[in-house]
Amino acid sequence: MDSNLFGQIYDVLFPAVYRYIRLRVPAAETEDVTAEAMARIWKASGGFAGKSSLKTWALKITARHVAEYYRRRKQTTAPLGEEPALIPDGLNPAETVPDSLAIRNVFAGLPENQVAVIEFRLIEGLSARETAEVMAVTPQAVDSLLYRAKQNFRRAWEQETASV
Amino acid sequence: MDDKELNLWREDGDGERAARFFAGLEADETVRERVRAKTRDLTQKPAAPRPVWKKMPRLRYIIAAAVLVLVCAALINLTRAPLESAVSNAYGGMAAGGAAEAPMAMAQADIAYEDTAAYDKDAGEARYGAENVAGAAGGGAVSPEEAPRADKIIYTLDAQLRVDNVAEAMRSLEARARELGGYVSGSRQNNQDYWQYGSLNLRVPATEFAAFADSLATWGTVTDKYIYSNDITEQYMDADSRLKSWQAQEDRYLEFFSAAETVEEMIMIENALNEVRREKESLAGQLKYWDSKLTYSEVNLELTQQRTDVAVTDPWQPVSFSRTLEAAKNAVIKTVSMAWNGFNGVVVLLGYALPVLIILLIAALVLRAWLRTKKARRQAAIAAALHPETPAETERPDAGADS
Repeated sequence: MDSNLFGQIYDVLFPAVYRYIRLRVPAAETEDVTAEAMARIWKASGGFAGKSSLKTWALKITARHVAEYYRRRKQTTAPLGEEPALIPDGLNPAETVPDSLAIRNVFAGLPENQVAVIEFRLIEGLSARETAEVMAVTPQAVDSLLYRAKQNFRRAWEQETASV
Repeated sequence: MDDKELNLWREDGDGERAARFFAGLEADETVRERVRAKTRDLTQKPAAPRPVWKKMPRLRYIIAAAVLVLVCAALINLTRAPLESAVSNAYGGMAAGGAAEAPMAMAQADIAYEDTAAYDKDAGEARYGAENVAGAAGGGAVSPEEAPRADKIIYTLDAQLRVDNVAEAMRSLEARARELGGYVSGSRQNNQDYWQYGSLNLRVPATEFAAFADSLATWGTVTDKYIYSNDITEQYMDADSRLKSWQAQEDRYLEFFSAAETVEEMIMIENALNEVRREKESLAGQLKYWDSKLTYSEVNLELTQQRTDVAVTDPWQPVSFSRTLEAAKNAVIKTVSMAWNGFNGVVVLLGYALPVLIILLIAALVLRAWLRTKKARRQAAIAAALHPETPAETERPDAGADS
């Protein structure tokens, strides 16, 4: 194994991969699933042709890995209380201010594909075309999703702040 | 983030709120390192099992030697197959009496046949002896000399002889048959490189049959001898009496014919006469055939000649001390010849394989170069993605060595 290259790839990709998995997999299994996804990315790196950005390519692999993870889970009995945690518990204690709780509630009310489009476009900085590639939809659908996500986010946020 | 949709997020602070939410999902350094260690564990390839030939260095030599021997054996078999097939056929024909059912290589077959010869010869004579005893007891077949004159018995002799020279033996046997008043009814001679075979069908006077059968050893080693008889006395007498009866009938019809007064009577009698004559001629033909068989006994001989170039074919079983040296010499010649043939076979095989090997080698080199280029391009793509500002070619000079 080329430790140097591995280290570089890991440092660059780990934050995005971890975020993606942390948001979708129960906390107890996040680390293991992330390690599996990173290993899979490393093993597949020989086949990276540079047609898309490294992050797009890695997130596609990660999305596929998470889908397989749930497919595997379906085949066995899922333990009670370990349902998919789209909005995970145990956030950073520093974030437990009223605003943070409100944001968390807003995200909890959004559909999964709208959360994903926010994540890819706003946080990971992917273009509409790259996001479309990861989500396996068209770029137009990405724009549309992002627009609806914005409207829903704004509506939910206003409700949250009004109730406070 | 210069899209119109993204600007909407920035303007009212929702973008910043979303960023705060995702910032809460970041892993701290401990988690990052723990996952890094786990990833490393998962990416460590399990050591590939060492090939067997690396574990056992001598095994490769054994395998190579075995392959060489197999190739040599196959080549030798290929070159010898037609010859052995011919020999086998010859043996198959000779072995009709059950002497050698499964001829092997010529050398083994010779010895095996020699072993069975004594048995077969004895068996043949034993059978002959049994027939004599049975004949003397009044039932079954007897030898021609001992049979009562009234008995009609057809004798046949089937024998196999191993002679020094097939052609000479055949000539001599034919002359002997003529000398005894008989004749040759069929003859066939087959000359192969290592094998000579002759087949002779003789007819000898029945009176000379026993003497002729006993004298076969004069021409060579009798490897099989079988005399059998067919007592046709009853059928012969029956046919003979019926012939006489038809003869009497014919005589009477002829008398009637002379006494006939009308044309109708003459035609009727002539029809009856024709029928009687047909029956008579049929019986006469049958009797003539039997007479011929009774007068001249059938002798079927098969003659084989030993190889002259290698007299002792199986060095492990020299037939006598005087031939041991000869056997040893033949063994040396055989071994040297086999080794030389094997070497020649390997060289020829390499000749056949060389063009294919060259093509495969070129294809392998091209494939290897192509795979290396492809891998280098991929690694350069990763490097370029990791460091977009650096020229891709300088990123990872050892691209093909890992992963």
